[in-house]
Amino acid sequence: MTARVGRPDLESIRLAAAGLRGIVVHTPLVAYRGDGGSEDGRGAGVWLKPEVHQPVGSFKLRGVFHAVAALPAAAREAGVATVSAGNTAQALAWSARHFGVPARSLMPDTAPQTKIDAVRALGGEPVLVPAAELFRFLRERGWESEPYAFIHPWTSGDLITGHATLGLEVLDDLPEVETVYVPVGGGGLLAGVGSAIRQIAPSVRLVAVEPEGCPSLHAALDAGKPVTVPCSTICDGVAVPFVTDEMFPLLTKLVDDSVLVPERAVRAAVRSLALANKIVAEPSGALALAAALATPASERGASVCLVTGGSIDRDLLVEILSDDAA
Amino acid sequence: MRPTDPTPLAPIPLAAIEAARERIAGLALRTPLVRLDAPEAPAEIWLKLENLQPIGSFKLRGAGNAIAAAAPGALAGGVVTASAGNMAQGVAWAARERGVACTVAMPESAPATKRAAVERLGGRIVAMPYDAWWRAIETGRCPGVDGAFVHPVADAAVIAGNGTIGLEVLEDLPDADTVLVPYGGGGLSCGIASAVRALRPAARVVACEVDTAAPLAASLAAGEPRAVERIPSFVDGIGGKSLLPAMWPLARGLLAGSLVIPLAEVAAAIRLLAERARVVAEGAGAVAVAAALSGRAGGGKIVCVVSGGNIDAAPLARILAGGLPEAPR
Repeated sequence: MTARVGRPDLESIRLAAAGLRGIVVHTPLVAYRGDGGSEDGRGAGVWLKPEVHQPVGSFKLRGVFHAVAALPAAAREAGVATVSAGNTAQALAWSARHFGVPARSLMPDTAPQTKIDAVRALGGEPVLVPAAELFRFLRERGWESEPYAFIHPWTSGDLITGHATLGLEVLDDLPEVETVYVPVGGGGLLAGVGSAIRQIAPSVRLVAVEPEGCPSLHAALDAGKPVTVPCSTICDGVAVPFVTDEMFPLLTKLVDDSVLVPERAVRAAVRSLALANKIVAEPSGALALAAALATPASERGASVCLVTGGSIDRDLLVEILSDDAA
Repeated sequence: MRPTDPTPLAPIPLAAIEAARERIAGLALRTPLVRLDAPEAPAEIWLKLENLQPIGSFKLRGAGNAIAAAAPGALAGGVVTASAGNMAQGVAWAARERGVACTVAMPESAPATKRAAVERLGGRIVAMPYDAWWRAIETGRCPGVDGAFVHPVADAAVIAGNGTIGLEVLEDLPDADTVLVPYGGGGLSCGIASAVRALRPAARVVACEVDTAAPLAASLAAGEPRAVERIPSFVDGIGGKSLLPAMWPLARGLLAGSLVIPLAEVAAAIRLLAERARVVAEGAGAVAVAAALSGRAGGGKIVCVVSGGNIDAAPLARILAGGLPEAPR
């Protein structure tokens, strides 16, 4: 039996935020201005937290940098490793470069070329393997035989603490927030942000958002335990077919609601973010907005959508922009 | 808010820019300054993301300050501006926040999307022939339309509002060497340069124009205002055929030259911004980035003002796919 992932306490989260100052951007909260918001451009109470403005284009730098910084120097010198669909690998390579140590990431061979290239450009070493092998590595704790210090992409305590700093910023910038929409892949973001928000503002509703094509948390909540689901979605950043046993108890405790988003709505949200808010989001980065727009304003109240990342292949973005029906 | 004085404008005092910041706090966003991931670039490039403003461009700052600074009585009859683009939305937005009526003079040829954007914000549109519209901008008067005129560029309060960008940039990057600013009417660059000169005289503020119409570069070369031939292009936010006379002395005194950027480099910068900075910029918004990437602005720490992101889906898709959009008619 593996240890359950615990909730980071507020003091650790505040310390992490202090340590990340100058490394990550305190991203602004901006009103959503596109279709489905209000006609007058005021946003109908939908706010965006564009983490695409972080140095590697996603929120992952928060947790990954914090986790790498928290390693004992000797362990870090040996190099750092993770498993990633792309964004965590970029964050790891960026952090490793900062500390002058090597970084290696196991990535699915289906990862978008944009993300693979970006890891290399940062000096990281991508190791491409079939997705099934990657998930087996995670299940069977393959890192235990690795020479590098392994940062678990979802369950590392330091990583979750770093991610939680995003929750602090949301509450600082919009104390009256009523609902926060959080995309869920492995659940690390939700664990962090949810932990921060629960401790400061327990009445805020936390909504977990997944694509219809990969509903692993949704199915687990239904079943009352982790299950493996088939995954087919353009949301490559959250295409994780199961929630781990370590993570499930914390997520169950944090989540108020779980929403599934159809592919069409994801594409429409990517388009709208680009044209109305000038934000380039990858499909998983647009999930939260798509979920908020599918919910009547009276039910959700003042809402924050975490726009988690912006690493989208150029061809897909062109296709979505060229599709007037999206 | 008086009709624009035909006499040349003076540099904006720092106190006026600081007062503007107080007035527009809560109306305009304090936009982030982010590092562009471009290891191949000849400089350390920083982006001031004004395209993230609620109206998709920096214009909210100047419009917001001009309207907030006006005496309450002065706005009883509403406000008027003349603009075919981003300033129209800036004034309409700020007027709505202040609860006053807004009328926008637009050329009859203005595209439907630009009209719709103003109407959505509660603005009333008066369409007029292009020549009459341009005269309104030159004279700062819009005959037959009631309301206090907010000049889109050559108004001290508007320029002071734009100058708040300079304050924020130097707070976030106190040792900036160069600030690159797109030059359309000159209100943005002169506002920022007023702030930078007061706070960090060692930094240069350099204008950026596109090679389809670069009247400032031509005027600086000639030592006096010059008109140029203007080739229409997808870069519609800058590039007029001549300078606004009131801005010339200010621009000449405050700006360390004008860099003229080929159209194709502007398109390439839009692509790079989408991929490496994850933002959508319009042509005018990308011209400073193109200038920094080209090496024309030198090395060191360069801040590029990404002034706006209002570009339609079709031309944006065309640019991202590696092409150049057709020029508007």
